[in-house]
Amino acid sequence: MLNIDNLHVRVAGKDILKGLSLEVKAGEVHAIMGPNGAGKSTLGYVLAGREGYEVTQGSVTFRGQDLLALEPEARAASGVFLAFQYPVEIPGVNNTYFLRAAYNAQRKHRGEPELDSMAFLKLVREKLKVLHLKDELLNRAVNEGFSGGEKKRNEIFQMAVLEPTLAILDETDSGLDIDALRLVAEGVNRLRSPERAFLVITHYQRLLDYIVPDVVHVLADGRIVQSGDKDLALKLEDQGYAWLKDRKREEQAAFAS
Amino acid sequence: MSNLQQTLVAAAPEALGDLSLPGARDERWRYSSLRALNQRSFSAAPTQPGALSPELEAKIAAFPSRLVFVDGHYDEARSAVPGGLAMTTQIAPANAPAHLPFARAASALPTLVIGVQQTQSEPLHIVSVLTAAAADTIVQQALWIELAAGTTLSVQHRRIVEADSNVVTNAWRDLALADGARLDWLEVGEDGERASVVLGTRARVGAGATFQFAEVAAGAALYRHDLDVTLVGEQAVFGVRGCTMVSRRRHADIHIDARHRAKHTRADIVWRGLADQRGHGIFAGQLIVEAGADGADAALSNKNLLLSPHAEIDTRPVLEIHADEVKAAHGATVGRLDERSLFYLRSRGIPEAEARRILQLAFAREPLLQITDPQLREAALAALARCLPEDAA
Ligand SMILES: Nc1ncnc2c1ncn2[C@@H]1O[C@H](COP(=O)(O)OP(=O)(O)OP(=O)(O)O)[C@@H](O)[C@H]1O
Ligand SMILES: [Mg+2]
Repeated sequence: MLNIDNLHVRVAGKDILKGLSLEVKAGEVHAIMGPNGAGKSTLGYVLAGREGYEVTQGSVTFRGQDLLALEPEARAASGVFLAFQYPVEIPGVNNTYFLRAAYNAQRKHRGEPELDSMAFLKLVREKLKVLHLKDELLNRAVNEGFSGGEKKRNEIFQMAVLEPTLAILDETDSGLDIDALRLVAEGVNRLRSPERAFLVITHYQRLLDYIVPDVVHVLADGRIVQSGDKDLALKLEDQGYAWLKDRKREEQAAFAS
Repeated sequence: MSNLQQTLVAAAPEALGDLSLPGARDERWRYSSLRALNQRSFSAAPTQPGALSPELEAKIAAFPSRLVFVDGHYDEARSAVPGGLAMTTQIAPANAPAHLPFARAASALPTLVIGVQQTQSEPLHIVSVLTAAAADTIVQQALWIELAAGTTLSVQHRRIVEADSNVVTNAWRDLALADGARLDWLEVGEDGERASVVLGTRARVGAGATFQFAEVAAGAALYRHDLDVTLVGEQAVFGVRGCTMVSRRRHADIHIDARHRAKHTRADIVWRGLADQRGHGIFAGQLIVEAGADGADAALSNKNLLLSPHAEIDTRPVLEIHADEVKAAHGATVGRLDERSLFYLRSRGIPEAEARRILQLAFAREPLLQITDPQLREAALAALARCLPEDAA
């Protein structure tokens, strides 16, 4: 479904991703872990199409399409969703209005009929219930004055409504209390299906107890340096990232001799 | 045919013999050049209300209680005056302040005087219609509204144009609020791109009286509004909620002077400006707390968005305090559309043009949402949506 090949990305004149390759098949959940500043959020932004993230080399194919050639809105309409590490507050724009505009814009892009406000409200109410979100959040401005945890839950709520094919969750677990973590995981698991895939960026193994990944990758210094099954996350939790560096040094030493 | 100065003076030569229009170096007119107007020559304005298209007649008739002006003339036949208003026409002396020369010229003309003797429960629509016959002329209008003690009035003033022309509007409104009165005012213009509009509004607010002013300024070739308010009685209140939204080559220059003359008076001005394409928005807000106006509370905020590299915003907040125990705050900013917000909306599937429009509307709407009179608020929001058409973003 998603094929990232030798991706190099430069941000503000600095090389951040340096030859990242990754393949995600439909139905899979991939976890991405890695030290601060490794380039995890950069990967999410590049996939979603944020301006200022310059691809200097490599390619990204999504459902057979050149993803990098699409505008952000076209990527969303073709099924890409990024849950932001830092959701943006947009004063003056009502949450429901925003979500309906997004939902209908995507449908329009795909040539599907738009939902009227009654039908949309019904859909939204159902999704709210699943995530145990307060109705009141719907009537507020997008993320404005939301607590850290509320913002993250609002991201997952949007995901639940938009039903993307590829969801990239950037540290959605950070700042969530234990109950919220479980609800968010439930929201994700509910969406899991043979047609969908997830890229779950996290620092904590705990989330992966709830959303069990098929593959765990370690992203360090702009590339994937290690991949494994869910036990890799346990090992990282236990030992940190230092052993990876040691191993890399050993490899380089072996290469040099 | 005569030039700008001659045309204005000719309307009342005795009163206006010494009229002097702002020169090229006049600081108050720095961003509103009169050059184009000074180079033009004008025909005599229509002397009485003419015929209107059936659509326009229907549009006017839809306002339940209304005062209608056609090309500057009060049109009794088309108006529907509610009870409790006393209407007279006066030849008033040219009584507008000297620093508002256009207003002085208009104030020398026969003035429609409206005495508000009873609280009005329904909003009064003042509709100024500009017909095609007004092209090449200066249309002038003078209004004097007096609210008796304790009365309440809500006004929606709008200019409706039959066709975009180079007509010049020069309107003067003198408002007097006796003790405990309340006036809510919404100013909306649907002026053409070739039109010039000069508005002068003066208000004197008595003890415990409240003047809430709102405006949606979409600009014109030249659009200038001087709002001059003096809080003359203790605990008088003056509030402004407005926005400027100029695109193409439109210009809008808003000058607000709020003068605290009595103790414990309050002024609270919130204005937002957006300039797109080659639009030019100007905001000059002045809060003056005179000696003796102790305990005054004065606040002014002006935030702006510059939406294109060719657009221009100029803002100048001024605070002058000559009294004690004054609470004062003022600030002005000029920024650009937040790229992070834009990306957030687009990442959810909203096309760029629509995302820009959503963010612009949200920004401009902020002060209008604070309009306390619900009918004026609705009308202001509708006017805002009209002046940011779908294809403008
Ligand atoms: N706009 C920018 N200007 C300069 N440097 C940037 C910019 N955006 C990202 N970077 C740098 O790129 C690197 C990777 O950032 P990124 O946010 O992708 O890291 P991350 O792996 O998500 O880290 P964290 O775990 O802390 O969220 C960091 O060193 C960061 O400072
Ligand atoms: Mg990050």
